[in-house]
Amino acid sequence: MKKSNISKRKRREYLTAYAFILPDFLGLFVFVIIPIIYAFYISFFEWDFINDKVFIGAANYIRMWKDTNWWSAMLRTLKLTALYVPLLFGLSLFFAVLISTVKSRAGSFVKTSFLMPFAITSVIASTLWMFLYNEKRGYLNAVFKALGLSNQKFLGSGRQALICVIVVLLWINLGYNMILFLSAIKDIPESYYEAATLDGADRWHIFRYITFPLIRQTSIFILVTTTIASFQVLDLIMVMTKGGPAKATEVGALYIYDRSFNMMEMGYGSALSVFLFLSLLVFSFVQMRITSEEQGENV
Amino acid sequence: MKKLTALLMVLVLVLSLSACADKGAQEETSEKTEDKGSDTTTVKFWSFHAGGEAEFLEKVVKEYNDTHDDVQIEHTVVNQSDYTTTLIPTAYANGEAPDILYVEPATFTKYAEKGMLADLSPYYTDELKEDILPSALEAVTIDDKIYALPMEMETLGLFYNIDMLKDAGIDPPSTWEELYEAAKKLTTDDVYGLVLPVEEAAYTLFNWWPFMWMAGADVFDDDGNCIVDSKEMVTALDYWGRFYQEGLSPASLQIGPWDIGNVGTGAAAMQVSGTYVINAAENDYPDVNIGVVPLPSPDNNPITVAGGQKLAINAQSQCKDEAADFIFSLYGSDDITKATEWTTEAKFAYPARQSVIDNNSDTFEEGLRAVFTDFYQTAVPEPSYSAEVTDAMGKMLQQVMFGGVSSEEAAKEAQKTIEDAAKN
Repeated sequence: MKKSNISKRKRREYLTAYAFILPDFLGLFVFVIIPIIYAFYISFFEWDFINDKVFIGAANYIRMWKDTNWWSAMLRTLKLTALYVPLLFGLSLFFAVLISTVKSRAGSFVKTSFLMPFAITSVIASTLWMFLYNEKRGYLNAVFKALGLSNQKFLGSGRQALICVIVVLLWINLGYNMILFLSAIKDIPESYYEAATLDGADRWHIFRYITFPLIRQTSIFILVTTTIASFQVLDLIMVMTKGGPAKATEVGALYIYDRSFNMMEMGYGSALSVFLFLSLLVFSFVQMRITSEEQGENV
Repeated sequence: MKKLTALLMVLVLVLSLSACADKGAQEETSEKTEDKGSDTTTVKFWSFHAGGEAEFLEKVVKEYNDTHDDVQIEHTVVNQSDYTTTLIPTAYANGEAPDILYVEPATFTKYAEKGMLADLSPYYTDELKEDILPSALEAVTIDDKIYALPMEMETLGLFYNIDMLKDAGIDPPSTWEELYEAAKKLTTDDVYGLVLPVEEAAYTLFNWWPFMWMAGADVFDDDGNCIVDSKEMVTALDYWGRFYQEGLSPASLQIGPWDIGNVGTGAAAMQVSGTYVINAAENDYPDVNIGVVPLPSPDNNPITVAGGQKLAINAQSQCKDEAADFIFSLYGSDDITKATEWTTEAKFAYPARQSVIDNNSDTFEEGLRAVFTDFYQTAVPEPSYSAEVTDAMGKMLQQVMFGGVSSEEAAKEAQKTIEDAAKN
């Protein structure tokens, strides 16, 4: 009697829960899943938006395989990911741990300051940084000059442009990811630390054996989302360099945009997108697999 | 189960993040046409102008709508940078494209070749054909069909800060050698000698064409053979590239390369820009002495390029006649009031019609405008190439400007790309 009551209530709760998710799911379905399925479908056609689609089988994928421009763009994306993800992860964790030890009001001031760039739209952030990066009248070169260093071209230099983009990405996203780490750290019971301190653990040991293992879920989340986001950086680059100088910042996503819209090769653009999507899927899955295996060893 | 959940979570994450990119386009193209009545034809017209130009367009649309009961123009203002890149192609794809749209040389051939533009020849009267400057008409004609209505010509010149040049004891340059020497002398820790465009974009090519022509080079010869890989092209590339390689021109720009603010704020001493900045040079920087001369040339025989927007009609439109009536009433009518207003008041540009010029000789001799008026009739229309050719030429410039590639090699590569594209 009592049992069936609970299950009935549970069922109603489930129903309510699903009802809450439904609008979100519908939105996801209409605006995300259908377009992706459609992109997959278009990727087997030659289509310029205007004239009828022509079915060409896997020709777009074969073309992708031979397209050296695409692979150099993808290599730039990988370079960006390889630099950006560890840096963002490390820095936001470092600052989170640092700030978590500050108990005064200064802590919340610092937190807010770190989060502020995240509230600025990326276009404005890019524009702001272009002031800093300006070769002749920028603040960065003014600092360099004061330190006795030579003038740098920053966004105008093929070697530095991608790094300049990464710096802006870090600036924007550091605060948000730091807050994620911070709230994970806050969830760790204070008693663990007290016990460890009593046992004579130093700060490194406390971090290594208490903090870091206990924020694992957040770490995985940040790693995966940041990796995905790094594959899709487009707006910053569109504003700051349009892929230049001499293609130094033409990442995969920008190349797809260029092919799809400038060259009006929607079929080919879709094939590239599908490839990018699938590689992200595999990449993220492997990333999660590895991190969950580690978990198995530790426990 | 856990694995499945993990996979699902990854999927949702990837999906939701990749969704962000196309939100913007969807919002803007989802507008629906409102029918005012069953016997009223609604003509959709998309523009992207701002300031005085936008006011002019609003005014003429209102005037037209007030005097026509059976036809109503539905005017929508959209973002210029999205206009030719994403908005127009996607709107065509889902049948939501406007009846009247703007085209420019960078997009004209691409659109016309894909059959996006209606043939406007039937709407052109013989008088109008004669009144429009031959080069302007030629630029919108493919195989004897006229696909657009030109209403303006924008030409390039060399703008400079008069005081900076005077202080350095430099006369406004008229030859290539003088321009290079001047840029070198004027470049300091704080100021660029000469601003040229930086990005791989249609605007960069627009600026490059006259330099290429002045060296005697071209993309195709009269028979349509690709002649990019030539001695003349290498000369032009060497000259153009030198400004970037030696740091006389910026490698990255905070404001548009067309923006006269480059000279106006003192960040640069000289700048290649067009007729479209004359109003800004006079009004926005009244304290700065800005002068303009024809583009310097190797042999004191300057060539400039003429670009500008044109109006076209959607080939899929159900109301081509009505759309044509509207645009020709503005820029193709015997009554040249509107055509005059556009190029003299709404903005400053050269009209595409001889009669407008003849009737307004005073305006075109005023201040900085006189310099352009002296040589604009010999201006070469901005060429309109296929997407592949534009892409190859853009890449060639970038390679020379910033890629450390020699002019010979870059020209050779562009030649090969263009020839390969022609074969397919």
